[in-house]
Amino acid sequence: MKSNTATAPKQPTFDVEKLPALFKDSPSVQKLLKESDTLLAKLKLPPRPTAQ
Amino acid sequence: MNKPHYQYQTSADGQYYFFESIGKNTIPKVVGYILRDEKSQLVELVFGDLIDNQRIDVMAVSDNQDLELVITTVIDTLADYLERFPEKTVYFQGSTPSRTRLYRAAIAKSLSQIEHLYEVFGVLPNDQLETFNKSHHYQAYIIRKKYEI
Repeated sequence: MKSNTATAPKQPTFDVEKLPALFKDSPSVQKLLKESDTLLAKLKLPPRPTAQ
Repeated sequence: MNKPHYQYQTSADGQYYFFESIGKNTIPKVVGYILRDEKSQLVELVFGDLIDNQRIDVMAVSDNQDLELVITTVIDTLADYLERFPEKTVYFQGSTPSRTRLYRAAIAKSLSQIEHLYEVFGVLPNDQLETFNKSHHYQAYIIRKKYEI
């Protein structure tokens, strides 16, 4: 687990290892991903330039 | 992307972030980088409120009077994620048109600091990609490290 220096006065506490299951089981997340499917299928990314 | 932002926690696999919005109320927020295409290593940034520690609501409107700080924190998780996983390409859009516009404003503000490190694309309303232009309207964004690792 990583934390960083920032503006919040205290370290937030939550078991972040629960998040994968929560993302998978949350209807609004799955709806958003489903809506993205159509657009992602159409996108053609240009090749990534290589370092000189 | 060194603007003030909330402190966040990251999952052990580096794919999920958690932070708290502190305004009128303290509201837990989460960001996930969800793999969408293995071959191209494309992931989608998904941002939402954590409700009762039991579900995520990407449509929640909390009006906690810290919107810029929240959006800056989301963008900061993106920079952190691409430092950890420079081979990834990140796709993201707001869950509402207004959030998509907020992302555009946040990218535009940071662009001069990040354009030497990242390629930023906007997805136009006709589904075509172009290099990000702060005066254009987009339905989604794509960002990746500039050079192949």
